[in-house]
Amino acid sequence: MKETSAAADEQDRALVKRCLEGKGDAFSGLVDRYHKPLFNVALRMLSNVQDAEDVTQAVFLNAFLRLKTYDPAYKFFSWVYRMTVNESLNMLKRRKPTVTLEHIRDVRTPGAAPDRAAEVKDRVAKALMSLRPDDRAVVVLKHFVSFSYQEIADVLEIPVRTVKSRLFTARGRLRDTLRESEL
Amino acid sequence: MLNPDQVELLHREIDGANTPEESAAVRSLIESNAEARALEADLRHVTEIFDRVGTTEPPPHLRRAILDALPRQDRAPSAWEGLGDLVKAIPDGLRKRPRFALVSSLCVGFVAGFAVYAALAGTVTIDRSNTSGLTGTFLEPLAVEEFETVKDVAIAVPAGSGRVSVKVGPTLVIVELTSDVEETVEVRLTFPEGAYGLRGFSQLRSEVGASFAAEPGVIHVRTSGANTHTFVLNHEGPAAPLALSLVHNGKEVFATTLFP
Repeated sequence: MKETSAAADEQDRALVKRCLEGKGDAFSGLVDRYHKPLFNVALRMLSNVQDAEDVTQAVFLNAFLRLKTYDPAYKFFSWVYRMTVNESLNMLKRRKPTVTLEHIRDVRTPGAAPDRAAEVKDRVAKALMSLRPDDRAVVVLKHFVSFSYQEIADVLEIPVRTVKSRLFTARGRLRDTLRESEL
Repeated sequence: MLNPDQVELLHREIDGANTPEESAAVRSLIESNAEARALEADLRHVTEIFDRVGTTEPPPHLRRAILDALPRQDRAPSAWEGLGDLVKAIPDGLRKRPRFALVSSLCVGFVAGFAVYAALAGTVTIDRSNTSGLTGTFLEPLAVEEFETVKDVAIAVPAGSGRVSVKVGPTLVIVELTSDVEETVEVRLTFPEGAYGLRGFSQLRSEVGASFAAEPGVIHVRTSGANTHTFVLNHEGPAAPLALSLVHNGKEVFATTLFP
């Protein structure tokens, strides 16, 4: 059963408190809770496993070092998701120019049966990467983390109406891109 | 043509954000409007595709890598405040590179680990009055020893001058050589093979071109400019004979017995 936002927040606060009290295992509890979703956000933002690993690692290191400055008035998960999105955006800025994804042809072993699931993932990844990074962040938080408009607004520190505007526009583009890629 | 409110209503329906009344309005709109039906179908299709992609399992090593990259947490993070300030002082571009983060964390971890090791292994005492400002880092804590200065002599060589002092303790011998030479001079510490072990070596300035090598029975240092070299040797039982010589341009220009 999916943990409710309030229950998750309560558990996070308890772990943060224990961590600040010097309980050695508390931070690993936070890592256990968040390393998978944060990795997935970074992966959808960057479409590169190695970069997503780097971002996830950097986020946890920053979170650990800045835990004392974390304001409990805000939700812990908003804080770490925000760091993940920002770190991913920074990573994108740092990237050297590369061949755009639409110019990359699928390389498959001759004679091998196409892996439908992998193909769908690949095309969705390309469609996501065709979005502006700011729009992509909204789509990723909505569809891969299942955040509400308000939670997305909190993470990205933008008004709810901007969240909706970005999401609705991005969905329209995604619909067209996915249709072009026969999905 | 759908108006913006209707479009938003359809998006919100897909996101499960509508009230029951709004959902009823959406159903009515879909029944009566072909464009609304098409948009609703498209939006559901996009959502279903994302659902099919699902989440990706992170690489199995990621969790361990994250934890290993953290500074060792022997105390509450508040104790790392100073470190946090230091990190803030590092330029953003460098600080936010995960590899930098990893390396810096390893360094912090090493320093913390060394401190813990030293604390557990016993008191580390370097009596500076006895070692004339001994510098350097020892990988093992030095035992508390009483040292006796057995030699302290000036050195004069064609290319410059210097001074060597020798302090002997129950298990350690410390040789400190201060030199200021214009040209490269090779310093040799010689002793019966196996009589001494090299416990530590340090030099005040590494940028002046000193090089160091050790082999059974002899330790070499090639040095130039002004520098101070400190050798810490260990021995079992009575200290064995130890000699110092300086070689310049292939010729021995200074030699002395350091001990006994």
